[in-house]
Amino acid sequence: MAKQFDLDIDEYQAATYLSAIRSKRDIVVLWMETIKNFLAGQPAEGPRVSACLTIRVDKMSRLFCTSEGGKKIFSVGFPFSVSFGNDQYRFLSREGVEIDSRISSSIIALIDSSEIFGVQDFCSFIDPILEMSEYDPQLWTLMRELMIAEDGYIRYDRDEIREDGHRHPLHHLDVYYSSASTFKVGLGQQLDQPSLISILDLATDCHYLKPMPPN
Amino acid sequence: MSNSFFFLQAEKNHLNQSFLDEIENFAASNREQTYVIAKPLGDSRYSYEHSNALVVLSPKRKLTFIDFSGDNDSFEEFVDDFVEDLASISDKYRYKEAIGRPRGWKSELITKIFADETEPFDEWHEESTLYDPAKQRIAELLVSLLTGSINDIERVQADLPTSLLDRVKRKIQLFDGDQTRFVYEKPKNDIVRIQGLSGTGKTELLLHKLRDLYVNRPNSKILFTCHNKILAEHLRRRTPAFFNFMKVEEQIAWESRLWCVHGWGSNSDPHSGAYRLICSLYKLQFKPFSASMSFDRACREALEELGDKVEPYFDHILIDESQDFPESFIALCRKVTRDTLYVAGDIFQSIFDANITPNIAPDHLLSKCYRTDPRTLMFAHAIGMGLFEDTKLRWLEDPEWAACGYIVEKAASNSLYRLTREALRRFEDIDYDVPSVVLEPVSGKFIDAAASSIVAAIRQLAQEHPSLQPDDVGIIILDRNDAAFPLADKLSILVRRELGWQVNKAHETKRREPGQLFVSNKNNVKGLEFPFVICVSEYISNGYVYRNSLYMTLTRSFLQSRMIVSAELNKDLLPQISDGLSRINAEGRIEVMPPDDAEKDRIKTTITVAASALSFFDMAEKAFDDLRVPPLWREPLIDALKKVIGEDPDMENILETSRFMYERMMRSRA
Repeated sequence: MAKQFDLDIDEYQAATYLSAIRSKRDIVVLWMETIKNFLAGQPAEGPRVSACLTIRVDKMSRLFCTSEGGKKIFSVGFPFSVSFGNDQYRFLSREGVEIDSRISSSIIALIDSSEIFGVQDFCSFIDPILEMSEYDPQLWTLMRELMIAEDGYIRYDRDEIREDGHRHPLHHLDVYYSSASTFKVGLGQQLDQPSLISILDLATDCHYLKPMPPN
Repeated sequence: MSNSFFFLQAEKNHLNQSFLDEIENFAASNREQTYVIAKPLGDSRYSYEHSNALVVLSPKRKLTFIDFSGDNDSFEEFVDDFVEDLASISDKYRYKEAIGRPRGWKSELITKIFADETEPFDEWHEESTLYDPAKQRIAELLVSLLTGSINDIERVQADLPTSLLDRVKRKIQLFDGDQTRFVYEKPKNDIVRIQGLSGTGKTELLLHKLRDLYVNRPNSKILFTCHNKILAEHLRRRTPAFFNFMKVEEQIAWESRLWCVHGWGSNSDPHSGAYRLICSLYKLQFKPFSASMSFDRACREALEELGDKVEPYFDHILIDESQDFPESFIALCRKVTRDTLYVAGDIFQSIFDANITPNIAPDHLLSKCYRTDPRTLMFAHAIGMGLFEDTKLRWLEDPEWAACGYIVEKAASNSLYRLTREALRRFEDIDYDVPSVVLEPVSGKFIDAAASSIVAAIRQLAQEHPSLQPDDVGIIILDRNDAAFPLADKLSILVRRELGWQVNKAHETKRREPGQLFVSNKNNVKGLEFPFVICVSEYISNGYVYRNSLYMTLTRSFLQSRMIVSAELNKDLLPQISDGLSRINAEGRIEVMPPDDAEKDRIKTTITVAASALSFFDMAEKAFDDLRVPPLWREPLIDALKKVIGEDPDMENILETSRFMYERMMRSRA
């Protein structure tokens, strides 16, 4: 049975999802910010709604962020189990670590303030983790899971400004984010969120890539 | 008895003696900051041939030159030379653009007195007073230049600030007598101890001392250290900025003339800590932290290994936050220092320290807290020590109150204590109509009520102070982790949405971000100050660690602290606290009944037991014993406790949280 959780967010929250993803650390922060957004339970309302977050859990488990009226849909894997009861969300990692406001802040602090991924020296990487683990033995379990989890980045983009024939089709999917791996798949028409979900959903029929007929 | 209102750096002799005595008495009894100097402080380059002249400086008065020599020509030359040097100092610190050249202010802001023609004190008293606030401000800037208490001219500016927020933000800061003595007087001993409450300007003074030593003692080797790693990194970044600001021309020779590191250090880098560096310099065995190796033990072993005959490597060592260090570290530093060891520390690490009047009297005791409105400090002490409550948590003896800067008056044959503090120049513009602390009880689900109340409070502050910037406000959440983190997340969404302000969650970023609203739990507030602080605490518990955090947090503001608490949970306490607070706000004093001897004994015993420093594990075990938690459940419970309580455990908190969690566990397994 597919589960879906939606949350409308404002422009400030949306900024996190619209800024360019350059590395895995950006994805980890994004996962943590997403969990915080759901836990805080402050949906944007009326004209303040700038984007919508959707967590879709079926056989696949993914996060979607739809913005600019569907011109941009961004999705990453969401390797957590989600439940909702008593008016409150609950997030667990695959290894059963509960991710709440506190531990998500600890992860963000490790990545942002200690810059553990930016240091050369092994001790500078491990020291902040050891220090924080003193008060939270599960922190390392979660950090390790997040580091090795696959992020499955894909983005639908309708980009009138940079449209350039078959090099940069008006409607396209961007797959992966690092310059060595990323590529575009052109689309013949606009793609809405349900269609993107259907492409990515293991429980529905596959979609096919077909060569474009010559111009 | 030293007088913080008076500073003298000139020879006292039979000619000027009676004048100096009179002016010193006057400064003390009228609480007028007054400096008497013979040459500008802070730069050894300036010297004059003329002797027996004094320069009297006071913020709201003209610069007064007084001659005791009778040699008028030589005196006139001295005045001209002095003013010329003042102009060059003004140019050096970029004051000139703001206050102009001496020809613009000389005639109105300078006066000369010939002691052989008149009674110099009376003449000074009558002739030097300035009435125009604009002229007072320029005179104050001149005083700051001549006393080396340099202000950032772009921050303070020369024109008169109009709003209250600007008046306090742009207040020209001047060292008081005690502070000036610390910076400029030659030390009498090879160890100089300086003590004061937090906010008395200790770190600032150490930086000035450091600059003085670095510039005026070429080739000296200086180590600047404190225990905490983050604070040490902060000092290391601040030092070059401070040197630039003070127009130090030399480059900092890091790790050959100057080290700025925390106490311990790590094996991989010999320059990573004070103890690590000493081990490397003297080829001692470095001992890293472990369960069996405390810092005290590491330092004692180093001292022993070092033996008696040691050639000191450093000329000076400056220690900040010395209360965090064991005495053995201070002894170790002393052994490797040739000239002077400067030790600056808080009077107490916690307001619940058992002995706050130390065995070793400090050379400089700073009792004036310049960061905070004195009323805020009073309230912070009062609520921290539970002074307004039926059962007080802490009581100070009269000399201890004095060490904390209180003036004690007793009434009704000692059954009523009236505690006041001296007014401070920084806050002289604040009207007593504006409360310095606002207590705000909120009802309903606390996290939601607190969040909306904070947004409303910021809106109100922005209305009252149109020049308010996001980084003028600090929000500090004292609640347990399981409440504090969700509230911070909620606020970061709501504040941006409702007010358009960026939010800096300092427990994630571990730094202060300019232009953003500061939000944090209690762990990241050391050394910070804001015009406004909003302190959030659902329940005012009796735990010592909690009360001390509450005290520390409230004193982070320099204009106003707000305290948001739950109306329901604190309903028994709130009437007494509000009552005490309104007296502080309106009259500037604490009125309280002192505990009787039996009560004092009880307070002492409770504190001593609490201070016996049980580890987290011991405290939890004790709580589990009280609650009769079966052994099998203890491990998961202690893991959960650690997460919820975090650093700084407190018996009260542990017991309360264990009870709550244990009941929940039992219910879920029933």
